[in-house]
Amino acid sequence: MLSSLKKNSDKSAVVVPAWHPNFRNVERLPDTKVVRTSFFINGVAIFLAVSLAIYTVYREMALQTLKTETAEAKVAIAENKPKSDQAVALFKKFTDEEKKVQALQQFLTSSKIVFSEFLLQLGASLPPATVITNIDYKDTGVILSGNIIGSAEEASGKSIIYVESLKKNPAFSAVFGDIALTNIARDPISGQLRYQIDLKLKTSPQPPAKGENK
Amino acid sequence: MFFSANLKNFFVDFGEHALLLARTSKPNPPFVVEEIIECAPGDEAALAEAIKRLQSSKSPSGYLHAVCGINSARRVARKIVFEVKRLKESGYLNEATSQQLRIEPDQYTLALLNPGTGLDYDLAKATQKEAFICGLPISDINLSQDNLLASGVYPERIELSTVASLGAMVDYLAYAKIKTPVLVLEIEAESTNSYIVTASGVETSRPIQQGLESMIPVVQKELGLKDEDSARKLFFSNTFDFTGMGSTLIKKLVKELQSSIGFYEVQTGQSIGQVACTMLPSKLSWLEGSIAADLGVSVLKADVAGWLQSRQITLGDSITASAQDVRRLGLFGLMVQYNNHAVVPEKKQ
Repeated sequence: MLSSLKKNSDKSAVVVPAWHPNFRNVERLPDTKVVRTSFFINGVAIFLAVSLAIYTVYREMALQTLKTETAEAKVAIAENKPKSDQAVALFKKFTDEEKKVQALQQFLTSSKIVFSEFLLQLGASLPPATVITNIDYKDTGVILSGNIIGSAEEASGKSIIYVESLKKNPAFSAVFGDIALTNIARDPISGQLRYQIDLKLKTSPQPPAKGENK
Repeated sequence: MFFSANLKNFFVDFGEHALLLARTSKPNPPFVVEEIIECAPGDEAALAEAIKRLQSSKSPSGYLHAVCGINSARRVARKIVFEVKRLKESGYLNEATSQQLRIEPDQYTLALLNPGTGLDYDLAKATQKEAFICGLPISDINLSQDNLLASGVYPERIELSTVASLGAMVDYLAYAKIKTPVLVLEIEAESTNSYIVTASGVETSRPIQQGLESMIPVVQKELGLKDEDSARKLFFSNTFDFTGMGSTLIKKLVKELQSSIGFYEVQTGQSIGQVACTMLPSKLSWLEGSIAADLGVSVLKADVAGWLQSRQITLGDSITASAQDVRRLGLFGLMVQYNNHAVVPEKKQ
């Protein structure tokens, strides 16, 4: 066929320049492309495949290592389990006993004063005609309530003197930081003077006085 | 490799008497023709040297990638007439080609061009009854292509030098505003292809069975030489002034040409103004003047540089004025890009 012969040999020409028919036989020409595009595509594909393979192998090896370590750990656990159980049981016993000890220690250290000694000292310090009707112990201190026999002037003076004597008493000053007469009132029925003395404990626990914690 | 910009372009025109290689500054116009090297055809060493000189660094493929113009003794480049109504008939075109050109179309690679524009002849529209057919045998193409590759030249395009020359001539005549037709002659060894060309295109074409070889017996006879070989050597050597016997040598050729010219002038009313011989070897350039004198016309003196400039092609300083003649129209024709190209629809099988 006339007109198609030229076109078949060089299929690249659809736009034909004037006076430039091309008679080249493309099929007989050598491939001059130095590096083919497919080389790069294949290269990239191979690179990706190799990278994935290396990554997979690495992860597999890491997994195998983990499995081995896990197995070894299991063996060690199995070997140590009886001793571990014993230790756990002993520890439970220990914690139980420890609780008792801690409760005791808390009991012993929670109270900042030894009541028996406190009462003895209180009694010893009590001036004549002074009666203690109530001792209220709190975490912050002690509130003494009582009556003083005597006239109003005498009773109030006695109350003040009593408070001063408590302050000067080493047994009390060691434990209480502040001793103050907080209330004083005359009882109209009995005619006696009611008083209230607040003894505030010191903030840091003081070591008990000698002989008090026996 | 990816980022190197190979800006140079190369053109190679394989003529019968000379091999022309050119290097341009860029692939497409505007560019400068930096260098033109001429070699004798068949001289492999000279060709290799020329390629090495043109191409300072080898391309990755090892070839000189060039647009090539070739010639073949069996090439066809002629006007053909056909019946437009029958063009759509299957096999008609081959039949017309075979009858008018006396070739086997199946053995050829052919192109059908519009003789005025040089564009592909549109068979679908088929408005003109004349077309310009060009081509060469498939075996010649393959042989030429193989020879090119063997010489280290990778053909980016393979074109016919004749077509490139004719296209260049048509364009030049339009540029120079030459209104009179020009007789273009390709005088080869055994035959001569004659074309009458105007700015409107190729008007006529005719092969004449008179070539340079037909002048040898005349030389032998005129000079009383012992044999044709001696006459041939003398004839092509340019050591003897043949201008005196020029008319005798070209008598038969001129007779044929006068017949063609006369027919054309009667048909068109136009007289040939000038003659141009595009294929003469440099040593036989005197033949052009003799032919022009006998035909009563002048030799075409082409302002090749000016024409190329109009096509955004500048000749480098190293290219001498003597290199700017019509014998190089084939080479320059390969370079010029004519702006009147169009998209051609796919041909039907």
